[in-house]
Amino acid sequence: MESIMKRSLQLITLASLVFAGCQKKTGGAWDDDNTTGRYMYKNVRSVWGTDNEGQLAESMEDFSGPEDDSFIPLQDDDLKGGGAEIVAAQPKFAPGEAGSGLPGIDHFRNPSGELANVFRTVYFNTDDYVLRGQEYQQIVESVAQYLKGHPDTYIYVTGNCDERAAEAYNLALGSRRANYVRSLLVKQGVDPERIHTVSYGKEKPAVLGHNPEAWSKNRRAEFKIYRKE
Amino acid sequence: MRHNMRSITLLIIFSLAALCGYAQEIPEIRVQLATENRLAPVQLLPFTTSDNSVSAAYLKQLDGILRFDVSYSGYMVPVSAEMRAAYTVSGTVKGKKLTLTALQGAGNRQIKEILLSGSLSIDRRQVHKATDALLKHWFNAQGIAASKLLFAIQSQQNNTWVSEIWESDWDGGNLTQVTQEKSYCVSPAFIPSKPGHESRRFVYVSYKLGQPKIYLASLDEGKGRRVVDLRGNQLLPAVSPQRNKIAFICDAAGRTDLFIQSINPESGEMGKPVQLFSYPRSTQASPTFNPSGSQIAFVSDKDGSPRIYVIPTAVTKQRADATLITKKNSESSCPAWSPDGTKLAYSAKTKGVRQIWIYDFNAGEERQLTDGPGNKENPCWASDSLHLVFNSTDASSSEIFLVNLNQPDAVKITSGGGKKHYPTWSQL
Repeated sequence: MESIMKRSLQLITLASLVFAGCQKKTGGAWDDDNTTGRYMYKNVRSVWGTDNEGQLAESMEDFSGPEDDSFIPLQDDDLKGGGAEIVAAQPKFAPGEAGSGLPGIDHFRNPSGELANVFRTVYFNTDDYVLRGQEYQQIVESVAQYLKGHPDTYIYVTGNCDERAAEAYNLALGSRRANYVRSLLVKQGVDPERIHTVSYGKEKPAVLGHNPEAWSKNRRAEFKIYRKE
Repeated sequence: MRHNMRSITLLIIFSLAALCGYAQEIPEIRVQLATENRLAPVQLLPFTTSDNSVSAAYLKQLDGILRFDVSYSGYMVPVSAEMRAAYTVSGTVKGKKLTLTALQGAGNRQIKEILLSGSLSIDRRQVHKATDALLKHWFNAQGIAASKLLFAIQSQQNNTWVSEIWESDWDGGNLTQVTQEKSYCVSPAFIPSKPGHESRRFVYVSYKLGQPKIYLASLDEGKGRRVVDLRGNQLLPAVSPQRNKIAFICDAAGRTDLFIQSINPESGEMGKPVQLFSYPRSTQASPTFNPSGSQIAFVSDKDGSPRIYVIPTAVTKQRADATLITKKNSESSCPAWSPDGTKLAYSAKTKGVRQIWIYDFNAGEERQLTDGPGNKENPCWASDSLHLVFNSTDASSSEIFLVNLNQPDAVKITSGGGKKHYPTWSQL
């Protein structure tokens, strides 16, 4: 009985999400609420073998959320209608960790040369984790295109904040920002296993200063790149 | 009368500031509580020696340590020799033995004998313990002068920002580096000790793997071993008073969620992490346990701006919802549940500056504790539920401050280079 109710609820939710996904967005915000479902996590380690293209949920089975046995997840009913939001589980191992097949973050380089034109820093509004504006959409699309064309390339997305919010909260907000950018790349079809995130909160400002200009340059997500030989 | 007494107290505290070797008074940070003044005036007679077995300069240093402890005990305040005081403390040294005596009325009682080692680091710890003995003798109160603090200090080395965990006495003395990771370590949290024992172990976040992960280390050996084996970023750990659960923020599932996990600090055995609270398009932060470990207060911006919510820790099939508790301020962060369970300290943006606020669970009221410039964050209670430490940050520095609910001034207990933040207090 419970499973029937849950299945019905999921069908209704999926249908409403598909409908919502067809709606034309009128605002300037470019966020992730017009997707048709969450990403599934296939538990395929592309680092070890075949790259796994991310895929949108297409069936009820796919709509069951990230498959993960490393922790006890909340159920869909507890996620407060979170099906409208892309959630891509983090890669199982951090670079440099035993079993990751990748070197540590020190081997991930800041983009330079031609890559600097692709992996451009994106900026956020105050206390916001959503990228606002067409310019950032184009940056993320360029990054996604590059990654899809270069399956040997792995990235870190770093989430950063300005100095104004509380530092503990900023550590969490930086994580939210990095994961948002990651989810956009996954939405574009990049393998989630190739995108790592790290939050620095306000610990690593790009610009030292105590004014709106400095703050706007510090609310950012940056890319660090590693190319597997 | 109360105001007169308060003025006198202030004068005395300001005059004492110069005597305190480690702590530095900064009068601009003030507590706004209209608390009932319960400070007992006490005369501290200068330490004397009958055989010159200890130098006068050394005795003066010990004298200053006792003065600080008494001044910020929350129960007593030193007064000058001209003023009447019901309580007096004397200290005499003979044969390198410092004997502290408490005098009250016609009676006196030897409180503590300290065989001076000549090492200020060791002897100052003994003076802190003597202060706690005084509080026990006169007020039957558990002092916290012998407790320890941990905090992170950020510094620049070879053009790279590093951050390590340091420990100090409650007055900022005995400052010692604990971790040696040459990485970025933040947000330490003491693992509460068994009753009658001192906290020696703590969890903290280190970026040595690139991503922030949670590690466990002891004061004796500052080498951390990882305790949460979970994917993604793990941040802001808190340990339950029963020492059997750890709460933290984690993005393993792709959102910045509240997690909880069982832990056995002795065996290192860990349970399976549980995603306790998640909410679409929101950020969760800064968990803190209530005394029984049955509830967690944490920060979420699920309803707009960051505010503080409470959620049960029980993992049931149908998870409980989070309840908003702080309603007076629209931007609140870093809650800390008092060990007696009656209060929650937190930081809230107040007229553009982050101040420490106290939420009273019994009265259901919130009141502003601190005032003045400097963003004050990361409050942490001492085991007496009377004292707090926090870090205050301005354009050029971030230092650790100490305050108690009975006294109007916060006192700076750190100085020198480096950004000091995320203080945590050992529970006695």
